[in-house]
Amino acid sequence: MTPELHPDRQRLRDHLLESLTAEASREIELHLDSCVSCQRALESIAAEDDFWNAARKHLPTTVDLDGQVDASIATDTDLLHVEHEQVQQLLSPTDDPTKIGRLGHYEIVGIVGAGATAIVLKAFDGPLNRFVAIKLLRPTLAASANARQRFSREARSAAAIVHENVIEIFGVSEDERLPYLVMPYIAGESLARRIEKTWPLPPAAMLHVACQVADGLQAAHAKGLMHRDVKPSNILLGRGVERLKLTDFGLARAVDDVGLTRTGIVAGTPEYMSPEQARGEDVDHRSDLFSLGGVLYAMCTGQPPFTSDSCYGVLRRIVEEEPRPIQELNPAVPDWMCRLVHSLMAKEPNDRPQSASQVSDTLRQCLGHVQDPSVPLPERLCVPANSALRKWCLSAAYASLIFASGFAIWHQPKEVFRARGVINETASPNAPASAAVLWDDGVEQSLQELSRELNQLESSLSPIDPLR
Amino acid sequence: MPTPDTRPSILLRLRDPQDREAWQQFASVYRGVIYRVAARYGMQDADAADLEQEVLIRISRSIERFEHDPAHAKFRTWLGQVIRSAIVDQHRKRPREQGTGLTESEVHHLEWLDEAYEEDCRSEILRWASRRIRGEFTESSWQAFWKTTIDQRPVTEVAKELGKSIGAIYTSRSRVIRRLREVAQEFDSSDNGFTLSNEITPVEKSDDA
Repeated sequence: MTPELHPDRQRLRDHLLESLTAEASREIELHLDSCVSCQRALESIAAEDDFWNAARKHLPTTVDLDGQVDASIATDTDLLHVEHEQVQQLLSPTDDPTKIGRLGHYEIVGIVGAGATAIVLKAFDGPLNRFVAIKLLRPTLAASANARQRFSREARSAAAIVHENVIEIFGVSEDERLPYLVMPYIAGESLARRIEKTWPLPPAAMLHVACQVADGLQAAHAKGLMHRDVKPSNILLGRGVERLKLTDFGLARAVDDVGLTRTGIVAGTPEYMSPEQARGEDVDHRSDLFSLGGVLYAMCTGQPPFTSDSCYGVLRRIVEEEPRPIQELNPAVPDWMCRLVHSLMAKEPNDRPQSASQVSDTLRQCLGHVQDPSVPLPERLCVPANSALRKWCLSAAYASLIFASGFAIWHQPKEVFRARGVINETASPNAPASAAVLWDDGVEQSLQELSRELNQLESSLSPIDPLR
Repeated sequence: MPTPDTRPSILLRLRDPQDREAWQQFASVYRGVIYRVAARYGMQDADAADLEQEVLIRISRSIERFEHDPAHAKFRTWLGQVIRSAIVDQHRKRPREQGTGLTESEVHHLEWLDEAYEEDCRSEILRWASRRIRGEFTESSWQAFWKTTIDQRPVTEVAKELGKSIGAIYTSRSRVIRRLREVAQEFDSSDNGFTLSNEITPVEKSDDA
């Protein structure tokens, strides 16, 4: 969009309501970069000047008159401060001056993180002389008996998953009023942090991460458990990428019916949710595979597949739009990787790979290929997933088939037909029979390959094409 | 997917004792208002807390009589009277030295606070609305709004800091304020057309003040 072409008010309003496609929104934002009059127009559609001024006047104080820190304040640190006080009220006093309190027999060192459902405390387990991480249901949510029960139940089922890529759960609190679970304290960083800091990641590292996540998911799925919240911040890398741990199994479920946005705390990011999750439908294990695709997408591009300002905007995109093509954001990503991500992120669960173990096998083979290019890629990934590309390939394949047959017929017609039994023995006495057979074998084989590929292409085309 | 809130007015919802969320929402706005009014009267912390308690109790006693009647006043106006009479009562009950910090005549001339009271309400509603919608936005979108609108820092500077484009900052902050306005207005409009059935004066014995 050139600066001369101002979007009209209706279009700006649609942009404001997040009802435009990602591409259309990008165009408008590009225009807004430099067009002052449209910046003004957008702001006046959003709210009248009086309201902007009222917000400026009334919102700044971060501390209420009664000394409470307001949860709408600007930074995460401040928000943690709010929870800090709430958490502290839950703890019993400690004799150790370096700790902030006790929870069971754990001496709490402090709050080290907060997610949508839980607060993470670092604690010292005296009897076993080790540091642990305690995940505590957020005080705001703990007010709901339903959330408490679900949290405890999910935590207990998660504790049953034993796998090297799933974080171990040492214990779950027996106290129904104060649900928490105890896990190893892992000093490393999350994949989210890693992407933020050192993107792009080497292809082998990306595949290695995805493989392990698939393995962890497989172990959970085998027990009939879903993760429901696979995303980079739930993937803990430790020191390297060799032994990652998947955390927060099933915990997203604890808040399903609490209505997170009403509690005023920062909701978890929905950016990696599957379309069926976004629509609030029942989900099965294939939903986790979609999210895994999203994680791969983020590793490839440095950004989540679907973004917008609000959760609502993100959810709408997940349901209605395709993510921006990976190679637009990072041309270095090979085609087969794009196809893999594309297949995992199919809107329809039936169009995705059907199991975590299948995904894991595919990823391993890809990893093998990256480490040694003579190792072939999975056949499936050599077929272009993009339908335009498919059509192109299809016609190219037809052309080469015609060319190949034409070439064969023109070059040595008799041998070819004889080998196929069309022409009888006596037709060409000069050609050595064995050589003819050998030569013919080659053509026959490539013809067969071509027609097999064509069949494959045609069958893979048919379910997708009508939708476009 | 989140849908626009079309439930009945919060005041009517308060009549349902099971609707704890309605009470929480209501209290989180008006607790702040009561506290602010108390502070303006120069009350000490403990007295302000007592007043808060007392007013909320008086409100809860009247809840069943809340009715929606477009011809009538704002709930806020009624609440203002309740707060005022509670202050008068508290003042009366206590000896001067631990009292409200007001002289007898000041207590009798509370009208000067009306304007400030309206501001307090507006402020608490906005703050409640901002707490409520914060979770609906991604952290960086919220920051884009807060840093440029509330902290009033230059857009270019914040854009660089957040790694966003200038157009994206304008977009984010406009989206946040649009939603803020929507939620605040929703609360505000639920405040209009309020009446008590039987038109009984809100608090007993308050009229002789």
